[in-house]
Amino acid sequence: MLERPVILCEILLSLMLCAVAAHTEDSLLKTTRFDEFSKHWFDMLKSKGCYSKEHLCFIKDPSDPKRVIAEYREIKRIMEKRVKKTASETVPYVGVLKYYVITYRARGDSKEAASKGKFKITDQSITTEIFYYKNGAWVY
Amino acid sequence: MRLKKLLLGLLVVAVALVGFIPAQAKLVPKIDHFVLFVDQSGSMYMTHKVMKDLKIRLVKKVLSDMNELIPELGYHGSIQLFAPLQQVLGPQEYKRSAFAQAIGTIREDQKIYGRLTPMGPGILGLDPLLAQMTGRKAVIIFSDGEANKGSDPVMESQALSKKYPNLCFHVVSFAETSKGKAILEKISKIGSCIMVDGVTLLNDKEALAKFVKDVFYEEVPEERIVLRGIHFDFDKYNIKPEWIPVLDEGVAVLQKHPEIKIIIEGHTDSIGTEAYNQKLSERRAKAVFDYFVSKGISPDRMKTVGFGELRPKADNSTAEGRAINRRVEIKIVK
Repeated sequence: MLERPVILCEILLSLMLCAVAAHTEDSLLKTTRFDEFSKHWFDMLKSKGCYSKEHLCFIKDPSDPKRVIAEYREIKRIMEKRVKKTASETVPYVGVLKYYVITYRARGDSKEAASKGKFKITDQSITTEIFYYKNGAWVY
Repeated sequence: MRLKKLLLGLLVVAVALVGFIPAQAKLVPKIDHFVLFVDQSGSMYMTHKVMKDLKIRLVKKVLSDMNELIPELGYHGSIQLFAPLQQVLGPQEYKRSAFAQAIGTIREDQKIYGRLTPMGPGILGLDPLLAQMTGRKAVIIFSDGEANKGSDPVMESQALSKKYPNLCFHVVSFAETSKGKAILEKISKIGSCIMVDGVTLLNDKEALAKFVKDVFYEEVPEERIVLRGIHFDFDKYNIKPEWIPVLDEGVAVLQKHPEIKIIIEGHTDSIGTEAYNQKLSERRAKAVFDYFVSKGISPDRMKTVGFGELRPKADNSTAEGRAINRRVEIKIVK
């Protein structure tokens, strides 16, 4: 007879704790402005990083040093965005961004030839970026 | 026919969108054992109406093409014929060359008439072989489905599926009659396995690649952790206290997953000579390695490599681009 109220209590307590955790996490995101920072970070990747066909990176072809590989990435899905409190006073938080990214590559005898080549998917990865928060700003 | 063409077109587009096999995604086997199960009954030595070639020769071509695409991931396979039952290649760890040779021995010159198709008994005949296999099993049937002797092949397949819950019957169909197609479809639907048209696999490389992938393996994306803000001072590689929380996140991942191994990669921007940046990145990766060891991570689980400025993720001509390029990456190698 006593079991049912106890179980209900446990469920309610779990729900409350979850709500508190979610609220705390939301608060941290707001307090540290990690939401804003992550938007800035992704904008930076897209405008300054090799994250579109208009912004290619070039690397030497490891299988043939005379050839060049042109590559760019696409962020397909943001999987996680959170802030975690640390034990440090000078660096009170770390921020985590996790996303799914696809890499496209084309080969050529020169940068120009590679950039005009046929791009194929060569890599799919889950990337987790970890930043730290110091003096009111996220450091990268 | 138009619907078939449309579906084929959509399939090609879907596979094209998925793309080719990524070079750096890890391939993980979906099965532990497989049987390539080929119908050698009389009807398989008749000419396919559309392809104008013997069905058995078409099967051999599909087998050869498939064989070129199956990655060697440690599963065990065999090649068996039915109608009548015959072992071409006994169960062994799959190696492309051995299977290629065995496929070549399948006869192309048998009589058509007087050679019925006891498909049900053929499937039942797999039981002793399946009993020796542990784990996930796939039987890939190559047939025109013209079962006309003995027990019902659908019932026999259902019985085996019930006996071996980790068994899947996939079908490569060369059926030319509605009866043949219906039988093969029913078999493939047991356990929601795959049925594909054999002629499609012959004509469409991407459909073939997709079939092989759907049966044999899955791609698991690579995982990387990028530690940001780890900016060593000029010619320095000591760990600064402000980096500890970020490094400790890396430690936490390794502690939480004791089975994983990692490669710690050092990367730089392009300021400085290539040779200088190469050495610098190696030492920086080593500094992170030493920190992880100091936190109790076994050195056997970790390797270090410096890529210098050679693997940029951004254009080095801007300050932001150079900031993106300066990083330590942890590549998870399971």
